[in-house]
Amino acid sequence: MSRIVVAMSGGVDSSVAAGLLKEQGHEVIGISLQLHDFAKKESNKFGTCCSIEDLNDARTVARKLDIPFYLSNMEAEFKKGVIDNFIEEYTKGRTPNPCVRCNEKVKFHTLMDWAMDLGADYLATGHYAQITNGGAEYSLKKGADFEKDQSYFLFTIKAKDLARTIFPVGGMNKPEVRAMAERLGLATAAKPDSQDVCFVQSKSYSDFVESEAPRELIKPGLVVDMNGKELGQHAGMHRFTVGQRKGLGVNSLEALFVVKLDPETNNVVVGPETALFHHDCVAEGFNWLTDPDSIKSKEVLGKIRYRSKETPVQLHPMANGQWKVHFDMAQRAITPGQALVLYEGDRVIGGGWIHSSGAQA
Amino acid sequence: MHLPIYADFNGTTPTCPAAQAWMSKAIECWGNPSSIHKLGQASRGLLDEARGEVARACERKPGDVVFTSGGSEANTLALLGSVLGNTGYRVLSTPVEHSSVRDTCALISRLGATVEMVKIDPSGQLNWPDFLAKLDSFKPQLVSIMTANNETGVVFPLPEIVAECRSRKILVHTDAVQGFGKLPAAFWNQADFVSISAHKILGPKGAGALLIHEGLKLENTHFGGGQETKRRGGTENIVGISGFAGACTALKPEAESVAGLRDLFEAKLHHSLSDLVVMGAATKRLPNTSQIQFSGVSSEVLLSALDLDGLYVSAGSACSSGSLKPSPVLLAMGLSESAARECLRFSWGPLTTEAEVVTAANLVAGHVTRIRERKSR
Repeated sequence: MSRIVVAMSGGVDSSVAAGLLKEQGHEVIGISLQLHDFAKKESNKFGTCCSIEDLNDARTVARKLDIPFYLSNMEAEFKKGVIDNFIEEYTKGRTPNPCVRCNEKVKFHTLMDWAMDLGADYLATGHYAQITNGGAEYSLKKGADFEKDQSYFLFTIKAKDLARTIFPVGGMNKPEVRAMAERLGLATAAKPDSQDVCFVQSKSYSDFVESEAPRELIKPGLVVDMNGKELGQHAGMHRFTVGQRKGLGVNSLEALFVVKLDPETNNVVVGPETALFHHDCVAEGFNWLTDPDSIKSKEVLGKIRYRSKETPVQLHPMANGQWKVHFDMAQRAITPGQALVLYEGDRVIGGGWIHSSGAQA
Repeated sequence: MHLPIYADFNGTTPTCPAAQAWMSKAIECWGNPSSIHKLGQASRGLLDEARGEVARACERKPGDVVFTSGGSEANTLALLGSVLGNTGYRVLSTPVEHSSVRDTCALISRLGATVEMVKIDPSGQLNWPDFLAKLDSFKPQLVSIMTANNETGVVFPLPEIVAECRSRKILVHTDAVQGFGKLPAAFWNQADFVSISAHKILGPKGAGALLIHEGLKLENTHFGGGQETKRRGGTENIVGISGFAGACTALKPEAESVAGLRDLFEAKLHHSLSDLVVMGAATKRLPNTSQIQFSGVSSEVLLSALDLDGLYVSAGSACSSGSLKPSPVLLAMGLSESAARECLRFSWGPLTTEAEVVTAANLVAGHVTRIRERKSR
């Protein structure tokens, strides 16, 4: 029997994760993170995850499972590590991935620390991913349900933390998880999956950034074509992401897409769809889950956003921890700020943050 | 072992046999005290009896006792009731009051009253020169200062506060919820308005009172059928009020009930741990309360670890969802947010044994040592 802290979001996956571990006879301790002050106005801002209803759901499930349950206030960590970064990235013309940041800065950092301080042997979450232990090295792998696989969001887990992390539902598919929740009589069995970024529920991302960002970071600029010719004006780079077609405020006979956001000039560069495709990018801030020297001999696949398919890449180290990444097949809309996650088969071997794509690389 | 151990008596207390007996009697007595018939009269009789017992425990007249749903409502009634109908009312309070006082102060400010706060020293004690200066410069009509702080146990000098105010014809309200049962009634009962609560003295939740000196003007804030001499409308909570009275009959002389437990606990901790800060150690505190900062250890984690072992304590003040915010009381004493997040409150009661206190100190020392060692690795 191990002491296991389960991060409970109030959703069905983490509910079942707790239930499974309890059935296996472990000492299970539920914990929910409070990432927002619900007493403040706009408390409905948190909608899909970690809202006050979700915390109550988690509490109800913990009660049903007869496990101790605690709340931890990680508002400060969440603001510093996730929300501030989200705003800053958008205003710099990058497209952030707050879920990866939350896993890195909050769940597998502050919460992991919390669990270990509590004397836990493991931290468990309801993510669809798997951890296997072959010999000396622990491996992070895709969830058995490829539709639900969340390994992309987990690449920032430190290699040493894999040994003390458990994903109890990673070997199941969603219908199995729901059936298990039903069997355990958990109130969350039929709860819809969370969608979207939890803290911008009721607004568009750009409205959220505008309401939260320091004024000086919101700078109007020009919309230009690929030759630098002015086509129009924009109210701030945070309103755009690479590959975007709508809301450019430019009249044109041909379909135009955002191909680049230039923080130097504050220009939004638009062009035809063909200009979105690139074979190369530069990524940085890597976290490795295998020895990076070993990847030369591996067939490495890269994935540039959660909902894109991984595809063969060649990697070349550069200075300052950056890597040049060459895709065998051109990729559409490689977006600075998004994560490049590297796989060998269904195993995550590492990943980094996309710095720049195509021409600049 | 003596587990589980309850060390959260400032949060609430179990209901004592005397309170339970009075409540059982009241459950049978279901008539409406306002009814003229015999059933109503029976309830009225019990209510009068209860009022007498509460008044006796507070060493006040039965007519001074206005029953409320608890200490929070009593606090709200005292402040809001004083301000309503008065324009430009001035209230002097402190930043370390219970949230029911702080939040009502915010409300009365919006209603046009002016509220100023007395500075709090790093010891947790009222800054006396600042208090005196504000009495003369701000010229409040009402001073609202608690008898003893629920988080740190720091006791404010109520007799002196009342004396200073009386000489200036200023009214005094005190939230005596934590003082009642732990300090002699004479220490706090001279205030014009006194808030007390049943569930801190081994009575039930849902009953409390505001003591009001005869002849004082106070607007009603809770309307109904003119109950409680038109100061608190609504059919009386006879069961809760009776439980309150029962608890009052069983109230032990404060000093003998918990004396020594706090000091024993702190001595044990000091013996096994370094880097401890006992809040308010330099000033007068309740005999049952220790608020302690364990440097380097998150209070959330320590509280949970102790809870898993069966030692029930508390930290900070709970926010709407139940998670912890850095305590405004500790922040007002000058602690940083991170220091405030390292503080736990241990509060003992008349049922606590020395053996429990020793076991608790050992558990705390064990976890603090383990967590600090893990952090230093």
